[in-house]
Amino acid sequence: MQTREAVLEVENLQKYYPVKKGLLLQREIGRVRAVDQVSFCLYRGETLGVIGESGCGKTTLSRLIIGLEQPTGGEIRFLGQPAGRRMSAGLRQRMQMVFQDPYSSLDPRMSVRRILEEPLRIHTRMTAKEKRQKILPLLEQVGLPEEALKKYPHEFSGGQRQRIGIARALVTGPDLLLCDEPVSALDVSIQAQVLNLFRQLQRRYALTCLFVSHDMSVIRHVSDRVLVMYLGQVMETADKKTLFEAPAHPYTKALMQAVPVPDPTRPAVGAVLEGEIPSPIHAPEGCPFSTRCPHAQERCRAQRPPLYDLGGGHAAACHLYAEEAVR
Amino acid sequence: MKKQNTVQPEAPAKDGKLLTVTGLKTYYYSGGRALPAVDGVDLELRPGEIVGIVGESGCGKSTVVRTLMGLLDPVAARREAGQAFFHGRDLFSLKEKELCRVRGRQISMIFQNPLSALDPVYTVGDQIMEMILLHEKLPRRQARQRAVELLREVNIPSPELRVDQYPHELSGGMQQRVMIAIALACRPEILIADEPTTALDVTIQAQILELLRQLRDRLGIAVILITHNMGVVAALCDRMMVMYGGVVVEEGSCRRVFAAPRHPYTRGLLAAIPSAAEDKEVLYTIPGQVPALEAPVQRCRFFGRCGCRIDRCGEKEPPLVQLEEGQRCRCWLAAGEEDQTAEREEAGTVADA
Repeated sequence: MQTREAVLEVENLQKYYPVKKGLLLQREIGRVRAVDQVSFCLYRGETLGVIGESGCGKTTLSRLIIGLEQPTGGEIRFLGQPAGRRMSAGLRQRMQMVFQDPYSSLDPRMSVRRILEEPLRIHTRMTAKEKRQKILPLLEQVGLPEEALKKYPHEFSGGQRQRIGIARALVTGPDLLLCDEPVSALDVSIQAQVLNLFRQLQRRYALTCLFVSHDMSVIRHVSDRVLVMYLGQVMETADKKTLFEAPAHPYTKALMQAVPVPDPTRPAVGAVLEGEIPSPIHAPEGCPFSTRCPHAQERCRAQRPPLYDLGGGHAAACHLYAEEAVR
Repeated sequence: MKKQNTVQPEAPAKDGKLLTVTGLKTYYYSGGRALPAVDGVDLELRPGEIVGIVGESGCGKSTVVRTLMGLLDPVAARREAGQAFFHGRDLFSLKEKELCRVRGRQISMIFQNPLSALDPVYTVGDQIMEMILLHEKLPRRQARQRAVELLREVNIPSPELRVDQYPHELSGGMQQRVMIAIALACRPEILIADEPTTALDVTIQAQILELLRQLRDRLGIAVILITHNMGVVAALCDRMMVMYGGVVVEEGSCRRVFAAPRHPYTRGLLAAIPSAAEDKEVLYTIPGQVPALEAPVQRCRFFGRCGCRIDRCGEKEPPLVQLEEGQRCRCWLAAGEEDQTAEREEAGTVADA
């Protein structure tokens, strides 16, 4: 097997937010563990899907990686160098991001030309002509006409704006693309267009992506490997096929059963999970999922399970697999 | 059950229908132009039935129910035509005062974002009691007792405690349950749910859908569910209506429409959904955009994006064609050959006139 080049290595990443109370909010009463001991490795040309419900830390994770947040602990290495807040300018241009809301992530006062040229203006010393040569083919790639350059974001629909956002992220030819819920604000028919475009671009540019979403079906469509998060922690990680066909962690299983399937002949499964996602301020002591897990035992409430290696890149943070784990 | 100081609900109409909406048209007015948000929609609801209205943003699905509930912005929007018979009375002919007695008591509604629909400065209990006391003469203590029972009914744990909490102290799923409790306070016959689970996580969504199903089974409430999610429709609804550009393009039992969708738009929508159960290499896409509202048109509204269009589609808007088993579809292709001839003749007479 040929050695794969790790584009992004994340080790024991932590982000805690202090919860303050009292006069002038000076007293710290607790901590929200938004991201807690997350480790993974992203190889060149692959797409890692990060899935989880609200408050699971998936967005914080992508913001930590691109350096919008300062981690509390742990390490992020991008192309072998320290990343995050301390990223050098040269490194910064090789990591780009596509945001969730195509309405607030494009400056309404900038024409599409300026929006697309901005990363080049910041990171390179290209002449106007060079910039144009760079932008035009990309515009075509994302399915927008040349006339779009003169227009402003408000003249486009949500789907087209997201195409502009994708083009902007690709214009510097990044080594890593971070996508934070890029299709969740779009209608189904438009979402399909953008997902197909994304897939084409993945193939064409051999993109390396971290794709964050709450939607199982979208994750299945775009990812090679998947990371399931819950309350800031990694619950399970596996390649896409294994995860969707033979999920190990009770949370992953429940998550999959909860997705409504567009097939009325499928018998109603009812609500598979009782209760709510606990508030991250009062996260459970042991396994974060122990309050809702149908298999929870004494051990789960007391001791946080490590990620047990189940072989073949499959790992699950659940005590049920303590015996089966590959030593 | 306590004897309630309410008017006994009249028997449903003879044809067994609880609500019959015909020819509903609602236009928005902007810059001196009339924009048909809803352009001729018929809807029928039987007791205990769950009907889903699906469509993408701007298809008019919310406007239909807002018109029904009298919640239109009086400046920007107006109902142009249509009737809605509920217990033998046209909802649209009711005076505001009369409508207020139906709305909330016999027909109630829940919204997409529970946090903005709940008042942040009142406790959950106060808000449920407000609804009860508005429609029924009841001592406050009894109303409070009812509020606690309602919270228990929507599966909120420790309702005696929750009743004195404020909306911000509850999670999104709990807030939506409180909304449902308020809507159920006067035992309505119809519950209108406008994207009730869109703002919620999937595991919570599953719980709310299960709750709606239970309420229907237990209390026999008819539900109109508005959603953009085909999965939600399949999980919960008996019948469904697919809307596009202000009209119903396809309707029928869920089983039938999912098994054999006849309108190209319905087929496109179903094919465009990525699946969590299987890998699709390329998703089917409907070309183009969801169209902006425009002045009334003569052709099929899906004409510009349809892959199966024929000349006729650009000339005349297709009628809602009756197919087998109550399925109906607004497409020239679904209209059989005979229908086409009949239509052609009709078109001829119109042209002659």
